[in-house]
Amino acid sequence: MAQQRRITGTVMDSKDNSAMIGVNIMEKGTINGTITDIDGNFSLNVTTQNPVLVLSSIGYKTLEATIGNRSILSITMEEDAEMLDEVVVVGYGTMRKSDLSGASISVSEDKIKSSIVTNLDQALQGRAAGVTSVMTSGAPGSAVSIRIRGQATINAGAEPLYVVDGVIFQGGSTTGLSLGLNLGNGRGAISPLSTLNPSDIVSMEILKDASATAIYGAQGANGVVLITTKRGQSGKAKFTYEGMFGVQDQIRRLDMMNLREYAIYNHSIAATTGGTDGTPEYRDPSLLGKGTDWQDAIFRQALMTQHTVSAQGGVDAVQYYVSGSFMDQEGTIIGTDFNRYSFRVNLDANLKPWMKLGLNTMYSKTSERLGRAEGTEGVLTYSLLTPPDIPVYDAYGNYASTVREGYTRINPIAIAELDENLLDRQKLNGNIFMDITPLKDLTWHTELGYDISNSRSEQWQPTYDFGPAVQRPINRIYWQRNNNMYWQLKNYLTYNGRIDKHSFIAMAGQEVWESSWEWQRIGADNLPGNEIRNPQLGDQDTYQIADGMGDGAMASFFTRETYNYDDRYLLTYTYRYDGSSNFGPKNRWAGFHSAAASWRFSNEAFFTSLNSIISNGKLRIGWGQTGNSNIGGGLWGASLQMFPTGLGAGYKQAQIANPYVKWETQEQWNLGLDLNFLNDRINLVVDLYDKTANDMLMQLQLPSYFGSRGNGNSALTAPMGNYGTINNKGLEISLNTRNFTGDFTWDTDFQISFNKNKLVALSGTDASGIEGYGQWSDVVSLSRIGAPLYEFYGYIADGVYKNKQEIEEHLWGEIPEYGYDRYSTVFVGDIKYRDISGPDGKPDGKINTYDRTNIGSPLPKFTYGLTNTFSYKNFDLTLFVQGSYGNKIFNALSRDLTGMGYWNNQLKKAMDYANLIPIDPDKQYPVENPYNSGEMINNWFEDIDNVTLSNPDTKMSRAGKSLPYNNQRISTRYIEDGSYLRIKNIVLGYILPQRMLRKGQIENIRVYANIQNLWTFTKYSGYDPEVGINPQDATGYTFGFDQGRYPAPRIISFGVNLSF
Amino acid sequence: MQRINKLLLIVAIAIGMISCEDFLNRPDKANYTLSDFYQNDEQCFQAVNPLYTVPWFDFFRGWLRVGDCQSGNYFMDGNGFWMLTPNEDMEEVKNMSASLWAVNARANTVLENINLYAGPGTTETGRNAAKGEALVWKAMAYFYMVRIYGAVPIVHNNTELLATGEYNNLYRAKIDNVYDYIVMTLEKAIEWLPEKAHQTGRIDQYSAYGLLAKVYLTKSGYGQNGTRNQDDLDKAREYARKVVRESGRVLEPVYADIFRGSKNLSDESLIAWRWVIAGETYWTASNDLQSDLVSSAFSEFSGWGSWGGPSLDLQEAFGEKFDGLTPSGAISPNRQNTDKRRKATMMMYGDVYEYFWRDHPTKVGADGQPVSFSGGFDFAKFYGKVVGDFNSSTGANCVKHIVGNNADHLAEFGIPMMDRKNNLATHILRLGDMYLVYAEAILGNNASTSDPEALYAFNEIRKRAGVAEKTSITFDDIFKERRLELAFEGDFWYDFVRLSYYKPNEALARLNAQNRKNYVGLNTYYFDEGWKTWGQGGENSYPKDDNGKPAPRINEGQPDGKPFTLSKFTMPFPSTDLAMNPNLAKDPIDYDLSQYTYE
Repeated sequence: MAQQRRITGTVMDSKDNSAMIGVNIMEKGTINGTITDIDGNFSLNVTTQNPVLVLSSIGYKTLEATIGNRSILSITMEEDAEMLDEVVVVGYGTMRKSDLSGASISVSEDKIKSSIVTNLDQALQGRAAGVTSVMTSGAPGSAVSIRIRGQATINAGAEPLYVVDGVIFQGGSTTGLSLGLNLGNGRGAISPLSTLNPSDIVSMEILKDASATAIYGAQGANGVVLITTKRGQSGKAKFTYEGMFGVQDQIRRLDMMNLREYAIYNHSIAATTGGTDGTPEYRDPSLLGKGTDWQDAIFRQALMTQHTVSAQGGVDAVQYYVSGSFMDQEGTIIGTDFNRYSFRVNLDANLKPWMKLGLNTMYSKTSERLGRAEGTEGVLTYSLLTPPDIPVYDAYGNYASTVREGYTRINPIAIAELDENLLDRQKLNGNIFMDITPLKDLTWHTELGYDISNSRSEQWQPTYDFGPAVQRPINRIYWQRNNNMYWQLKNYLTYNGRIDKHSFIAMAGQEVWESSWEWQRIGADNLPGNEIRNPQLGDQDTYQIADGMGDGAMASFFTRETYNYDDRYLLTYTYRYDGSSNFGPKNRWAGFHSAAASWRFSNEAFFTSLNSIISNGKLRIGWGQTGNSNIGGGLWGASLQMFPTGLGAGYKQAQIANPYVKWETQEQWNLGLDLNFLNDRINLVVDLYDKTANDMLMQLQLPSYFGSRGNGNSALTAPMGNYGTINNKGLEISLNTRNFTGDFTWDTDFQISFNKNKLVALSGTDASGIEGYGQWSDVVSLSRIGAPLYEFYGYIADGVYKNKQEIEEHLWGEIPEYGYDRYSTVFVGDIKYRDISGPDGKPDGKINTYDRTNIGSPLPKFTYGLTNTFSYKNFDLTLFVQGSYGNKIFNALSRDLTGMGYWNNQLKKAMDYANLIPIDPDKQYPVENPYNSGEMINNWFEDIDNVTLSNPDTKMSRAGKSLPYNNQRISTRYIEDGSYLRIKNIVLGYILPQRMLRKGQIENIRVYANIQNLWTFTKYSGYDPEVGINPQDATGYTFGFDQGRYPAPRIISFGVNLSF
Repeated sequence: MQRINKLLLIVAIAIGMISCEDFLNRPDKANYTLSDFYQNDEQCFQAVNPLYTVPWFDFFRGWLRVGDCQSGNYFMDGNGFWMLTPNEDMEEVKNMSASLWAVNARANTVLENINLYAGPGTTETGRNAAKGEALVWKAMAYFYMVRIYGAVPIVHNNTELLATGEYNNLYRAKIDNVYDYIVMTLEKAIEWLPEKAHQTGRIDQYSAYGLLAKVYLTKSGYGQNGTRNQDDLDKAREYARKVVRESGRVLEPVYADIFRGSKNLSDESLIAWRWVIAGETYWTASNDLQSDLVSSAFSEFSGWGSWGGPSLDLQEAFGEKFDGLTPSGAISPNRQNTDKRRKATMMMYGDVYEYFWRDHPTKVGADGQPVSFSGGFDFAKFYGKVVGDFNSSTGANCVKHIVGNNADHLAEFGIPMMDRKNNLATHILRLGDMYLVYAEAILGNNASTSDPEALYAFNEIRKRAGVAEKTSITFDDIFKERRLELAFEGDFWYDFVRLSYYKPNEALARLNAQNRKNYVGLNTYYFDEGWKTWGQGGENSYPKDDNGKPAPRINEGQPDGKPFTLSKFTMPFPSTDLAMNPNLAKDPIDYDLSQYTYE
């Protein structure tokens, strides 16, 4: 037994000899250790005979110091330039980064922190090559839609798998509808990840290619995001506080008509509409003011704040990380907000030299007011359409409305503030695990993970009375509670072997999980007042009850073998065998293989001479299969749904069964090259991929005579099966350079991703395609075989008809049987759609369904991100821009706002409507003004031979009442370039000098200011070019369709991080 | 320690391996699956029940638009149906087709499922009755389709069609093929259905006879020129007679009652959509037509339809005709009430309905003063005092399909109404219709008839309406009687379609002769009580509008889509289908109907 002896020392940074805080110091071969204090000092009682200290600190090279006889040490540590030897999480284990053959990418803590991130998924935007991240909405707490290497599947969920500390994060459901909210027709966008506090995250690994994701087998087809949270280290307790305060606002405004312009527009339409009298108040616009600016009324400056307190530390046997946080964010549209409380405890205990126990627990609670901002009934669209002559409040402070001819629009502010969609969620997520090392190099990992969540939603529709035409005398409430329970159990053995230059890791294991959910919904009408919102108080005869339940399970076996010869040749093989309850007994199980190889040519003898230039070079090639089973349970059979009818309970068949439905399988090739130049000052990663999803899980696309279209309750749902093939090919480049080092540092990160998507095959005839809808059943996109998914489908608009002759030439002289009639036939000023085909495949002089074609793709040609980080002494500056190129947007909001309606407000450009003027103004067509009896007016505009346009180059159609010719068809009129370049983040930080902090026992204070979404360069005329999947389309087959989407706000914030 | 490790290892592997199949077998616990259902007669009927509502729901609105807007009964300013310019981009047009085909698909699967899964607890009578009901619904859907779209494909069995993989290659069947298919379907239904259903409100044998009579009557003119096929007419007569004379059903004595909630199960009703109020999960279960026809101030719930109204042409048919000079028609405080159907069909100035607003509410008027409705719903008082504006520019609103306010719903059904949901059944084939079908079948190709059976049927309808009986009837008499009897019951358009089969130009001429205009100035006229002075002192006694101009008058400048053309008698097939199946754009073909049987 060796004698204990006390040694003391100081640890310094080799670069500037500054004291290093929190360096982990262990005595080698023991569990004896400590960490350095604020001055870099430490003391430790060593016990072994020839003690060796192992010093480690993140970002620095681990150092072994032989003590000898010394008792006072001065040690310097070097920064770890060779980040290659970073250990990364790979799923069911960790690997040295240099050993990876697959394509994966890390997003580190500092990247996560350098933008204001309320939801974790937002941090991936523009940060990782191959990852396309689009905010589905600018509402607080809303989801980001993430696609790794393009859209690979169409119906089965396309979001990646999120794994937090080894536990599959349960999204539950991301649709507002399934949580009991009324957010529009379709899905709404509730982010499951918004329950997670980003401050707890230490890193995220995104597994992209099949050789990396194959270990997740059937769940890996859309890529995997591995999230690792912070853990404690032995030593003195370290406390940190992170606080942030921000102001958000909407900086873009649509150019709408103000009251004066609206009056001019309205009155001038009346003048060419057969004597419609217009509104008398509009006759003299010069008397009018600007009216209400509804955009200013619904948008507001919104505050947000976030605070996180954490503590970490531990003794040799137990280490802890504990945190608590609070976040509160108002929405920039009135009536919306979000807040979150979250807590985390991560514990590690070394029970025996061969046994380690770990525990991770996260609890969070979120509360949201969701309002109803989006869609055609959303507050945004609604307020834009509201004429500017209605004030927000009347003289008594009540919501104002103007009743004109017995009709009024309901005050949009009233809608936003009265009707409520509330959502409270709670989530408990975590795991308990043990690592047992029975033999040297053999580890048995056993782990029980769980995710328990519940939510409570409330839909509240109070009574109101804005005059006889606009009242709701009976109020209504719904409550819905959803409960989800998930557990997983996994066991795997890992053996690390090394014989001379051969090293290998063999891993084999098993996993099962079970997930169950249920919901109950109650509601009632006619509560006695608007004060107490309890369904029980409602009219008993209106009580409503609805419920549902379901469960799913998966069982899996997997293995991974990696082999490394001399750090030059690396091989990996993975196999996973999965069984899913989503499939019937005939096709329940499936196996997935992958193999990858890489060659680190820079370690070859012949390359040594080049090592001064190319410090690391690796060529990677991989192939693998993954699967997808995300279709929900029970769809291989057919169930009967109870449905009340006037004859008593009815039972209707829900869907057509398909007992043969099976796994969607994806195959992917990946070719990658890693090059590090000039001692890692320049790092380049290039990946090429080609992935094909076969047996794509989707609903069979059937013609309407099959009875499977229309309202979901009415239609006999088409069978779910394996009906298509999608291919994605792409190129990803990441370039990271350290342009300056030393006192002034400048790092640049650039990443760009190109992806090409193609629908290769689909069951049915060659003509079949997958329709995507707007809000209801209007087909706006059609995914056709041989073309990319989600292409917009409609007519090509070539301006407007300038005169009769032009109409007749264009329509091959086909004169309407009873002549032209501005109320029932095509007329001068109507949109001229291009005649491209007909029933025989040739132009036929008719504008009909055959003239619809692909009118643009919403998928970008490439997306990119560029981060520049500068630091000088205590200052740091980060500049992050991000963008997308080559995608088109269907501006459905502008379609509503140029409908040339008579009652609704319109975009200012609608004033340039095709304005009819008489060719011969002297020609008389006297008729009696129906609104002003006895007065004769000249109806020259009824005579097509005598009209032309005063503005023949206009893009706007004619205006008026009862327009028969459909000028609002889905057409190129509304297709806009969606490319953008966004200054996403500018962060300026300052670390307070140490000497100022000593007295307060504070280790470190950093203050910063951050501007997010400062400006967006784009040609898009809507609010925000970042338009992803259309949340209003229940099928989810529409992309880039902007129907009054909640725009992302600009956020200016200030924060402080301190630790002591 | 090694031993422990080994043990743990074995346990771990065992946990993973035990009965994976059991673990992964997760049947739907919340719902029946096909194979557990159809275990007794009651379940067979429950499987048919949704056919009485759900799949029809999206047809409902279009049903009224086609039946009554297109045909000139119901005015909607600028609406595509009113202007006879419905196009495939219109929501209702797409919904109608999806809905009718959903009925067919659901009827087909009910038949198939009962055949496949019916358990020993079922009886042959029960199974047959359930299948018979499904067949009548299927025939009804095809009957609407053939009259709306003309040629359509025949989808006899969805599962088989799916299995063949030919689902995207179908051609349309010729119109006479489709009629033969409907006849074949109904003949099998008649064989299977009981004379009297075990539950009132269900389809029985006479429902099928009635529908078959109407199908034969319609089909009799198809492909003919000027006259109708006598064999078909005879069949129509034979089957209509069964319903009129043999079914034991009697006409509902009071006409207005047919459309009241308490008479949902009236003898009058042969086939009806049986709506019921149900929670929002069950969208498509309830009747929501009231919202389309009334103003939001009419009840506690949504409403946006008060701007449309019974057309001037229909008003004229009821005798409410404005001659342009004297206060008459809608421009008169006096109503034509000889024909009791007038008030039960359209509400006009001066009408008070004791069965609407029977809670006699006092409303706050537009001017802030209380307005009492002690006698029930007063049309003029409602618009004049409460709303402050006379919404309908034809001077009338629809009465059928309206339940009233919450108190009325409570009184008729015992439960409150919900927003856009009520319990009122929609009768789509009723006895009154059959009486007139019977008369028309007897009249056949004759110019007029005094056949006692025809007179009996025709005069029974007139007696109930309170109008004089006739001793000889012509086609015109029946055409008009059908219109008055069945207005706003989604039927009038098909009288034109039926006529267009053998006399297309006459059908067109009748449409083009309609008065499709509206009024201006009604507001000033009624609410300034201008009617009190009109006609008492020549020119100066005309009521005046704001500008001192005479009011009211017919708005001759109102666009009405006229003149119509023959192409208006068929609606285009939904374009989405044409993209998937180009064969639908080709000429219809002859289907070999002998390949189809019902088991």
